[in-house]
Amino acid sequence: MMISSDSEDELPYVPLAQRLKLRQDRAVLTERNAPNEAGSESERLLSLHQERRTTPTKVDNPPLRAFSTSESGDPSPTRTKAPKRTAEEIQASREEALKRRQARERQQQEQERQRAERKALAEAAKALRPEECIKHMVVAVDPALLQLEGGGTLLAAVQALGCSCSIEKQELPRSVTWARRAPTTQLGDAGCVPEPHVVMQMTVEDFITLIHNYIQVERHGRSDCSPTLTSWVQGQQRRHPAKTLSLAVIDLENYFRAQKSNSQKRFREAVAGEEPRGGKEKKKHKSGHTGKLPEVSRVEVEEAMVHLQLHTGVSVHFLSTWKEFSDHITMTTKAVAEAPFKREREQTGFSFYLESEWAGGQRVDRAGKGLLQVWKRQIQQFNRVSPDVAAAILAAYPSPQLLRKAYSQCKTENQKLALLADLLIRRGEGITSTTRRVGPELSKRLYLLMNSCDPEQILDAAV
Amino acid sequence: MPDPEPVRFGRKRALPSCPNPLFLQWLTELRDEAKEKGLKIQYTYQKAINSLNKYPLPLKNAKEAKILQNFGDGICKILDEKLQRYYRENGKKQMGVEGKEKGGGGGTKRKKREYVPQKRSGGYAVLLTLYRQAQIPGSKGYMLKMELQTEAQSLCDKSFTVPDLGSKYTAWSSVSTLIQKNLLIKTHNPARYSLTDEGLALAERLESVERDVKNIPGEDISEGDGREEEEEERSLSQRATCAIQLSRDAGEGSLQGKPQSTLTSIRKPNRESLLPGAYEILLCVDFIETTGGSHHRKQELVKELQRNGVAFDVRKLNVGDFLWVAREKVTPVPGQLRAPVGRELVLDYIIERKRMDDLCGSIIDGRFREQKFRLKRCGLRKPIYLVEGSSSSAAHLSLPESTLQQAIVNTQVVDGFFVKRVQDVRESAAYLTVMTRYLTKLYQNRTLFCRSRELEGDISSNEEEGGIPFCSLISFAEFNHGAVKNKCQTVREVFARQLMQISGLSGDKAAAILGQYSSPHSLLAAYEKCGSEAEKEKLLSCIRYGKLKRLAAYFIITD
Repeated sequence: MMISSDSEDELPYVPLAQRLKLRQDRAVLTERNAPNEAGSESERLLSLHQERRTTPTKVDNPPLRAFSTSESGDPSPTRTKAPKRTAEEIQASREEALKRRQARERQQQEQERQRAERKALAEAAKALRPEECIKHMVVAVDPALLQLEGGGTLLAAVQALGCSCSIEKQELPRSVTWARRAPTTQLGDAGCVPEPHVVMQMTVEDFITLIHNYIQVERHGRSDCSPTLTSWVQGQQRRHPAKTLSLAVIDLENYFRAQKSNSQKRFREAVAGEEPRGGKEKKKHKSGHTGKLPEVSRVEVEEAMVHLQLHTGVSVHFLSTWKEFSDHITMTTKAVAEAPFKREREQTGFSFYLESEWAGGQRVDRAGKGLLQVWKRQIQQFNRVSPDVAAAILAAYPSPQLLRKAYSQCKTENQKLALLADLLIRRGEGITSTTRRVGPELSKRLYLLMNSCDPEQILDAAV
Repeated sequence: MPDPEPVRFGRKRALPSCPNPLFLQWLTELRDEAKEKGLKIQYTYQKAINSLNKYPLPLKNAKEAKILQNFGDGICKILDEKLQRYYRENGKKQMGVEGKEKGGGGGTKRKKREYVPQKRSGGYAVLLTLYRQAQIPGSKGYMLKMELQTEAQSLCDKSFTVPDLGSKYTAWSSVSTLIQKNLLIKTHNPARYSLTDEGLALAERLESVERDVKNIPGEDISEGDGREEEEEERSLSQRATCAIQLSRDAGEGSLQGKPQSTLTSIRKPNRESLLPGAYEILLCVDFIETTGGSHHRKQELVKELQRNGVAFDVRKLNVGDFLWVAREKVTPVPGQLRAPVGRELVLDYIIERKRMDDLCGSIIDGRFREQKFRLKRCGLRKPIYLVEGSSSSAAHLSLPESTLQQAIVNTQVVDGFFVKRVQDVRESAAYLTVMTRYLTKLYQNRTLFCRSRELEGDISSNEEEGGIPFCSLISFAEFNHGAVKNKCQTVREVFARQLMQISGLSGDKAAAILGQYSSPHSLLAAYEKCGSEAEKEKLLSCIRYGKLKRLAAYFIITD
């Protein structure tokens, strides 16, 4: 039964790295705060008392706590007993009292500030957690996206997530952008930090036109001023260098279907010898495209997209319906919201990745149950150690302390190196059971791990 | 009630002393000798040793030993000879007195012959190279693998990278001997090689002999042009200068007459380069993409690529499913069957292909995140996730389609990969085809430079502007080697992993602990210094997490 640590929950949770940093800063500050006067000691005692009065829960200021507090909080303990003092003495004691008060106030302010800082950090960290983060997101949608029939679904989907939605003209045409509300500031939108990810929806017309231009330039060398897919996107990137763009096109299949049916129709007419029925036909597109769109093949679309990828790194998503597009936007919202948390999690500074088998961690209760399992798992952290091998070592040395003791009882280094080599591993049952030893190589690796003082020492023998 | 006996740990029954110390000693020597030379017979001797250890009675002679398992005619004959020699030298002493007799027995010399590497062997070259680097003031004191190979190659007759025909060993194999003999140590990950004190002493002697030899004829022996040419043919990828290479490719003869500067330019990495036209862009397909499974669809990918006329090569990739290399064009040398190995630099694009069912499976078993982690660290800066499958293929899997879609979006937004969605394997092949053609065109007129990731680290900034592709690339060998899954572990790494086995101890907390106690030894030592249990529990309290109290308990208990 897991007993959680209780005192933790009173204080706001702050991530470890920041806590350590705070500690360092605080240590520096308390050093700086210590005034270099004769009355310093008593001042510290006073401030300690002040602390005690105002903060009943524990505050970690170990340097201050070390002082014993035999004195009472009274600033002038000896007044009643001492003989009458001269004017200078009174003046001096007043000045001292003033200084002490100031120091106390400074101390208090410092603590307030620290507390507020810690609180802010805790809140910021909390705001990045997966459950919380999405509430702080603001999705900004360009009104042009809402004009078509899909707009309603988009808005509804976004709002269903629990984040706020704003409809305003975006700098990038037909785009959806995200911003994260900074939790501590009381200002309204000014506290929003924009996110770099942007999704730009492109109409099929624009898309095909740009690709067509690209094909003209590539294949036929026609270099007129009309933009190609790549050059258009590059232009957008230049204008917004802080943004990571991605494109979305809805229902491109329709275009290809129309194209195909058109070409079939023309073919049939040509074969049957009928006269083409003039411009009317072209207007009878099922999709409702106005004007004729240039013809572009699928391979050409692929080529244009690869060219786009190699020159800009921008990807294009194809979605068949507006519903799919709004789903895509909601998924992107979730991803953008959780991204900082996930990236933070990966910053361990270690070059290895803990596989899912080991990722969980073994629960240990207060009585110590589960520690054996932990030790067994720890033995398996070496490369090429199977559960059988770990069991064999575990049986001989059920705890790391025992192993350490055994090492200290060995007289020579060779003995230590080979301590585990001859432990037998039981594999298989009955007739098919074989005897295998742990072996000198693994014995050496364990020895090195437990006894080396050099963290960069390599354990494996391979070159 | 009498006091219960204090618990004794370890072995409760005393081990009997060895009944056959001489045989044991000789077999152990034989085994160690064989181990040094890397011979497989060491295992035979080991088996004999194991079996001898289990036998409790003294053996009078080698013939009697034959009754034991793993003692065959060969070993018995050797032992017999040794025994005879022993009797001759020591008179007919009684065997099996104590296990501690040292120096007895025929055939073993008192002092082992000191290890001296042969001139221009792998060990020789490595020792000398490290020594020379150490002589440079301000040198870092170690060398990385690629660096060491490059610099030492000129001092060695055998190649460090290309094994001789019929063998899998290269000159690099001797490094393990050097380590075993305590002349060299290998630390850190990525590996760093440096000389021990003994190694330094030996290298100094090698150098002084080398100098003497040089002084006698009065000219540079090792820099002759003739030798150059031979070495070229054998190991093209090891040249530190590119002068001869360029001349060969460009067909100019003018550079050949140039006097060679010392090839071991240790300080400045002399950049190898590939001139435009001297190389081709080749798609590399991971061989697992082409085999295995019941799907002949895997074959279909290869067939499509062939039909499209894509230049590709199937090989084992330690990370990723597809990538591109710029491979030097080489002409076969008349008189040799094997064409010389062209240098290969790997382009920055690497593709991980996932069908919908693969994606589902890898998310469930945790490979998904691990693969992405490895892709991010492989040194190539443009990872691509190629997701193959239609909505229908995502329909009847163990995970709901929305989960898969979210995972794909996350890969793009959170991990920063380029995501390409295709419908089926033919579209995948089409994408690879078009990418190969476009990359070929992009690199048409570019000179490529070989960058070593070990030496220069990764480049974070995006230095491309417009259409100019990145031209400072890693060699394929270094890339593939660096991406191996189970690399050598260091003390630090295993310690961190062990710490994380306790629930609640995540990566960042382990990193914090390691900041203070970088090895298990130092942590355990600190615990021992603590006076009381309470102190022990508080030891890690700077990290201030309740569960760490349990961690402390864990290190204290001795149950």
